[in-house]
Amino acid sequence: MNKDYGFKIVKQGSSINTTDIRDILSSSKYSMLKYYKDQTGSVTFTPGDTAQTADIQHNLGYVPAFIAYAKDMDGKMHYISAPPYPAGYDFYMYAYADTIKIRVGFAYGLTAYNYDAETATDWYSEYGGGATTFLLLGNRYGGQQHGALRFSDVDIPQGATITEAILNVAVEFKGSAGNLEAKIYGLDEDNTAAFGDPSGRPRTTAFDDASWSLPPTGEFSNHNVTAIVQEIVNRAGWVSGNAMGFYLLDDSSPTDVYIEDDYNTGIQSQLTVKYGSNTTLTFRTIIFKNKIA
Amino acid sequence: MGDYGLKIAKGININSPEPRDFIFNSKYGSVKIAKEAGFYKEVTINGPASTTKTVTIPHNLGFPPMFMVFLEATPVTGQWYCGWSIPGNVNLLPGGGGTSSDNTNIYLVFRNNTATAKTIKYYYYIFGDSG
Repeated sequence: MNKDYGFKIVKQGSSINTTDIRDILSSSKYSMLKYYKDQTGSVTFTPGDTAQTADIQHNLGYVPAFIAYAKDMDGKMHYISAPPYPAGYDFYMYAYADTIKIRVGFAYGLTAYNYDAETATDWYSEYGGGATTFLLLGNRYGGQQHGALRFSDVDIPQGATITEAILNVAVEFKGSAGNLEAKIYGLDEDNTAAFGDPSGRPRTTAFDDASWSLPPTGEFSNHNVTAIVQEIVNRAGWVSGNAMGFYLLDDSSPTDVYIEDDYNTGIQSQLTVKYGSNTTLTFRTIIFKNKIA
Repeated sequence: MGDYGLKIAKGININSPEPRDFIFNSKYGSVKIAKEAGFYKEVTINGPASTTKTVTIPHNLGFPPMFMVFLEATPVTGQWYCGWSIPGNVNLLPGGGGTSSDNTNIYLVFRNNTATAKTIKYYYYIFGDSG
């Protein structure tokens, strides 16, 4: 004899013999996801970070069913069931389980947290009456050679605190051995225009005064321009996405000690900036005893 | 009509008004598993990249149900993701021609992101609640 047994609780007003599963609040006929544990956690991004992960140990010895929620950069909590596909998206979240842990991850597909990197779009050299197809800096052709670099679309909010800004000057060609002596100023303008001759444009109070120990050709000479970039983004008229420029003045380099960066060949000079403060993203995982693998 | 049902609380007043205090409370409907894989399944999706394959799983519940799918998106990694588009060799396509449910079936649309055929493992739960 077949006997039906168990317990069943249905919604108020529904028949205990309902065949619509949605009317049943609980029934021993249907198993449920069985709660094992839940845990909250957080990760901290510092400017320049591209990814962070956090692990929740479960040590069940098998892969359990789970749910994960995480706070996005927009401050909203999202259920991690539909993170954006990385291609074409910048920031995304993900979560996976293995036999010992749940890993919650946050990653940038294209850029990084509070970070901007730009490749030079304009070059200027005073050599030959002013050229805009290369930067020549140092002691060359019997005299001091000065120049400038411009970067367009610099994505830094007005007034942001700059934690680090590096001007990576491309050393495509160089002269004799020895240190290059040069000062780097910023072009003190809200949105410095494309180069013709930028030598007369106002310059920042802050400057970098360094003796350049030159790397091999094909590499970069890196210079901390944090104070310079800070002065420019502090301008009331600075807007994220504006162009930023730097004037590089030879400071009595030894004879034939120079560097050159040509437009559109080989490596190109770069500007990398980290700004703002750290941010902490929180997440919560709910782990079930149900085994999926 | 009297109050009826089943309540279980551990170390908490059984009359607590806070739903989170209960291990079980029949006043609050449970998410019922109407159907599950039972053991992980496998599907092979051929290359080239962007090739899709649809797995149809009947449920016959008479309404589009909630469901949850886990997959080992890159074979043999032991990393099981719950979700749609995720980093990996294979991902689930979201709705709009992708993964969905109707009154009769759930449709899992797998997409291969690599040039060669991939066989991946997946596990599903179909819940007795409307999606």
